Amino acid sequence: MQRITHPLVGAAMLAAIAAPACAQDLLIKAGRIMVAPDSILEDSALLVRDGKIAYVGNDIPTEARARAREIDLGDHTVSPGFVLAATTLKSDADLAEGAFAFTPDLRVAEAFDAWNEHLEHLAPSCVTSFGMAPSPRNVAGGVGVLAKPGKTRGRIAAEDAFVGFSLVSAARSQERDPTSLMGARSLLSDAFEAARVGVEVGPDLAVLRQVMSGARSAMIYGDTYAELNAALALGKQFNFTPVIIGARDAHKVMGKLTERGASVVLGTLSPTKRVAELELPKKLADAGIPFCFAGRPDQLRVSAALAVRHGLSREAAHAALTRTPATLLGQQSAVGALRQGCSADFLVFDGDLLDLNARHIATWVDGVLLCGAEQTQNQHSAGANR
Amino acid sequence: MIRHLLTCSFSVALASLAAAQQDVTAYTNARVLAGGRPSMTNATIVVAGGKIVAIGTDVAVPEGAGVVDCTDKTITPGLIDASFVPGISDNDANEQSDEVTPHLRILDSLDPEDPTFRRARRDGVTTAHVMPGTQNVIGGLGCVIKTHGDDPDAMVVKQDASVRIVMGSEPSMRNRAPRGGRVESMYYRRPTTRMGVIWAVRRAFYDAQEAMQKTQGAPDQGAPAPGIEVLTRVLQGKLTAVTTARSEQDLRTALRIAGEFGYQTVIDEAQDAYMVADELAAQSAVVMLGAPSATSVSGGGSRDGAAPRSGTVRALADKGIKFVITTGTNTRRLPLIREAMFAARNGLGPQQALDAITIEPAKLLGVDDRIGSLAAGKDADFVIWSQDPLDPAAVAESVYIDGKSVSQIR
Amino acid sequence: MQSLRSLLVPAVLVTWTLHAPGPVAQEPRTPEPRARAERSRPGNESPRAQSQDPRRGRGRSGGRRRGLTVIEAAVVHPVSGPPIENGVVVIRGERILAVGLQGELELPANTQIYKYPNGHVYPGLIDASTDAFTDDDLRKDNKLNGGSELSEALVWTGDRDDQLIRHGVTTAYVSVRSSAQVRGQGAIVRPHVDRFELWEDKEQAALQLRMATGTESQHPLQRQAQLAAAEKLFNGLEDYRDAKEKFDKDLEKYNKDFEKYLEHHRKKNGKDEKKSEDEPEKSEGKQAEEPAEAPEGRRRGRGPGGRRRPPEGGGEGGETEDLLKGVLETDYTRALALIFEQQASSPAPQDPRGRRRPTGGRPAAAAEQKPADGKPEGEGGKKEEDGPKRPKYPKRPKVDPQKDALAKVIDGVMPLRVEAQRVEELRAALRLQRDNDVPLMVLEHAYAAGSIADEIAAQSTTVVLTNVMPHALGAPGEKRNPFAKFDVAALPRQLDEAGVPFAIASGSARLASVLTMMAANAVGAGASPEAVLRALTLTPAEILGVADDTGSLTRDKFADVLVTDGPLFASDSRVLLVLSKGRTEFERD
Repeated sequence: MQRITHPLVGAAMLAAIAAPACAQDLLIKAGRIMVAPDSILEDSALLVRDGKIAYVGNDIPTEARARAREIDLGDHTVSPGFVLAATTLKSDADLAEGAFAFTPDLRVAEAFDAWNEHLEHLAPSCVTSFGMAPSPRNVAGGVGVLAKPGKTRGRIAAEDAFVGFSLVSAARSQERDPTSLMGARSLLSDAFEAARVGVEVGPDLAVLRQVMSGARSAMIYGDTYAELNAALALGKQFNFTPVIIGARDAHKVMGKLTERGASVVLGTLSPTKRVAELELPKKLADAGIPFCFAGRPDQLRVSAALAVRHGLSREAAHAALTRTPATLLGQQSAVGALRQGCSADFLVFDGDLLDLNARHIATWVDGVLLCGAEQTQNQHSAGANR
Repeated sequence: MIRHLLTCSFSVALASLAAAQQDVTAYTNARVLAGGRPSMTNATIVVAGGKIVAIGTDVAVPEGAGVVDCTDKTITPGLIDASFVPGISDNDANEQSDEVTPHLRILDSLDPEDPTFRRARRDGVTTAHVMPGTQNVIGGLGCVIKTHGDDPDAMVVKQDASVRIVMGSEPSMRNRAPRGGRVESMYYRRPTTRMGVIWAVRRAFYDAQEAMQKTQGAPDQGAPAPGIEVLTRVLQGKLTAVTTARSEQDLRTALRIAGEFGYQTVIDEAQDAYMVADELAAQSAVVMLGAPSATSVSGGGSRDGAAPRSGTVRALADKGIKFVITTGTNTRRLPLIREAMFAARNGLGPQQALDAITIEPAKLLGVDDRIGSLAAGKDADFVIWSQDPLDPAAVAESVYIDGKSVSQIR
Repeated sequence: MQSLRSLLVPAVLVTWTLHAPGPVAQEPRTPEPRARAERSRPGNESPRAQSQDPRRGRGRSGGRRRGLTVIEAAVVHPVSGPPIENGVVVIRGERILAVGLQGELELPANTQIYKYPNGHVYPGLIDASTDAFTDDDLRKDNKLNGGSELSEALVWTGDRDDQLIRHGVTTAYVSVRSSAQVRGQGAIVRPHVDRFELWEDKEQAALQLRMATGTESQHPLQRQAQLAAAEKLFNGLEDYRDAKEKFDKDLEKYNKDFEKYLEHHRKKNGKDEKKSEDEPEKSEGKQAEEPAEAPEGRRRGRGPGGRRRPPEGGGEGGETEDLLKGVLETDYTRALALIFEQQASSPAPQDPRGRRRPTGGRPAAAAEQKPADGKPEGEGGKKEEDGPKRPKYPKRPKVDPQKDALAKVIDGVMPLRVEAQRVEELRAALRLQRDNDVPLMVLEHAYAAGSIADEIAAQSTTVVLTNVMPHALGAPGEKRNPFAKFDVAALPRQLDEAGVPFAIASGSARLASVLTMMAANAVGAGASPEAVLRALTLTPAEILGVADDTGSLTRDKFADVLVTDGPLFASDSRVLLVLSKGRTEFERD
């Protein structure tokens, strides 16, 4: 539980009739509030209580509105914070058990370093929550978490959110099995088969059973056609829908992705990439395949802007940054949107964040300002000739 | 497009001819080497729906069909390479954590847009039999796959067509014997020598035999290890075992093991086959000659000491041993049609040389109901050559797979 | 001037035999079609005169009169003035005729109108730093020097990297970032859809100097050594120029003295001594002086020539001029043939030992060689004469094309473009400018310029910014990358506040498609949109020295126009139309 250490809060608490245990509510007023990519409120407000969105827009009761500390953002735009679907935060060494490739029962939560130096770069890059995945160096890496940066330290928001698998070449090592892709595929299918048959027991097979029953989502690293094919075939054979991370050759398996209902986590898009990769988000959107942007956190906005430049609709791009990754992680009720009950993770821009000329004003996580300016005074509207 | 018609039977295809006129094409005035029968001049082939509808010298061109005049050109069936090395890195073609992995499939590692497929297409090869690498004693299951297709799944002609067993020292080259008892990596294991390789094969088949006998009598105790199941099928004759053996001693060993366990094997590479021609004839083994034009073996297995001779094809043909010509693992290989050209140059008849790369591999792999020769009802996989294909100046001008042009030169 | 002087007779002989221009290929300025360069007007007035005098009506190009072209759009951004809503741009031929409000102008009948009801019109973008049209060999060539002219090495490949025009870039400055210290002279090009053309007499547009080491982290002492090496460049420049001037003066004096000498002897020996043999020599000499210098070889400066051929002038002017015209306008080899014929008819024998035979006072024949140490007395031939001595041919100083280029920089003909990233490197560059009085200097890749913006402004140095995308130099927190800490996107604001003219450029041809995104990012980091738009258009035009002809939508500038379907800085705004010199280069269907 976060405490707002604002100097005035103490005074407000004493003065107010509110229960002494609660911190003061925040009333965020802004010219545009994007509750979700398809739901934008103009000249509206949010009420933040205890780090969550308590009320939205017209639902805010007047007495709560009066009691809350007002933060007036003028004409700016409020958007949900970015969700980075899969990252290891450069602590691969801690997240890859090198001796064995098959370790689905290891838990990233036990390796999470709340003072990881890379956490402090997330808020300036607009990332308010991220899925910390096991390293792609293990065929079955372990159980990942949803974590968030914080003012002084990071924290885990949801433990055991998803299971990480990997079929990429990093998972194949010449020093231990599997050394080849067919070996990796057979390793996974044998393990899933054993889990299905149910004769063997063990914590690792229990995790696989959860994946097959749908209790946990499976995220699989895969880049080439053969790897994607293997991931989708595994999903088909054992009845789960994989989320594919990487998917560089996704254009070769579009039909299968649609058929399985699989989703894709794309890597960083940069202007030097091939045009086919830059146009991939649009193709995925047209085919109805859910996808989100990931890769380098500081390049998320640029990836989305490049995708928009190559044909992706703005709404789809916003969704790919916020709501879709939250859904892929199974956390759509907690992050990725600014609905009632979601965490108060939002960003403040002075325009549409997909245009790079919009200035990033602030990042809030769990109702706490992490970076940027809290209020804006005397802000005149953005110029027409941007 | 044409894809949905592939699944229709021949009669339905005929009936829908009238309806789908625009899919019909006739290739006229060609010299046709249909495979398995003498050549025809001024023949016509009618293709519809990805299949050959009619072929012969007196075939009438249907109404509304597109006509391609192939005067002075020769049409052969699409070539079949019975031992094709794809562009997969060695790391992915061999699962090194265990030397005996009969259940792994090389198909899992294949990319349909493999650049080696493109090169093969340009050289007239329409179907390839791809097997796992040669660094495992028993590498896994090979598949027969066409070199092009709209749908990668539709490219596969036969999924588990063979199991690859490798004789010689190549599978043991990476393993080390532990010295002083320290085992630093998984490569400190058997086999480290040629005898060890044979030991591994023998042990695998022995386990398979045991499993077979056990299940015949005992109640079901759960599924056997997947590798055992594959080898059981080999012993029962339901799956072809392809043994890669290059030097004379390895050839003899291959035949001996097959005799010992009672399965019929196909010998792959077989550079020294001329030395053991009698034994091969006695066991009526089928031989897949790897790059018979090469004068030395380089690449994997070059240490085995095989000494290829250009008279091998003649020796095998004279003894009546069934063989096919492939490109194989020798890095000195030539395109498949040039291998056939060298074979024809060295004593093989031209028709026999062409059959060795078309209908014979199809029969060997058990896919001759669909490919391997030009006959009504078979897939429309054929190549239009600028002149007789065994001529060194011949070029595969147009290559068709399932009636669709996949390579066009000039 | 000195090229033909160094022409050896054997060389000429070889040339003649091979029917090819010799090693000192002097390209006469005839309108022969060159693959890459396009001449806008055959023959007449020099383009420089035109560009300096925009008032002269040049709407007619080559005699062809085009109708008007009019673009109507929602907003017109002339950059030289405030944006105009519901604006119109009128173009006649190659140049803009007028910019104003719709409805204010009456348009004649044969007008082609482009209507873009939601469009935004901008001047064609100017990319102040790109490596388009260069190949890998050039980019990695570390043997470039100041005399290398990149304009000679540009190639059109037609692949994705050459499609600058599709992204609205109508003018670009091409240079390469090789590891050489002086990376040659960049060129200004105008890209088109299927080719590119060099900007007339901006083929050598700037001299590239590398003061910094790039992203390889090096020890600071090594960097200091690099900076010191850069400062030594200008050493000896003064002496070089003095030596050249002295040579020029001496040459003039020599010519005058020789004239006097010949006059004297002509008078003495009468008319029959005025041989036609004098004329080819004189005309050859004149020929050597008049046409402009040949472009130097790309990868080597020209060393001193071989034997020096003294022009023995004194012939009549009329025949010389005829011959001169012959050289300039007809085949060069034919002119040589003429020379040879005349020379062959000369009865004067050639003495290979270089001493003149006493031939009754006639001046020496063609291949006379002067002793190198220049004994002032003429040897022989004049023993029986008194009078002015035969003057000594002055010694030519060694040609150093890099110093020539640096001399041009000092004279303000070419700017000096310096790559320097860190603060101490930038300060060293500014010091270089001060100490050597370099009038025009441009800083490239000046990542740390923000902290010394005022110092830069004080010296009127300009800056070309690249890598303006977010964290383009490295992810935040990257320890091994010394440039990850620089925030290039914040530089436009800082430079704007300090008053430093800056341009935003792509830096590489592949990034030309995101030039506008870079600019948008600069706005997002706090710069003013007007300054950033100017940094894409008018400021780079000024930095490149072509601001009289392009860079804004102003009357009498070239009609380089870009139309987008939304504001330029929006991520999804697409290019609708690109005009280059009034001609439609790209139009989206």
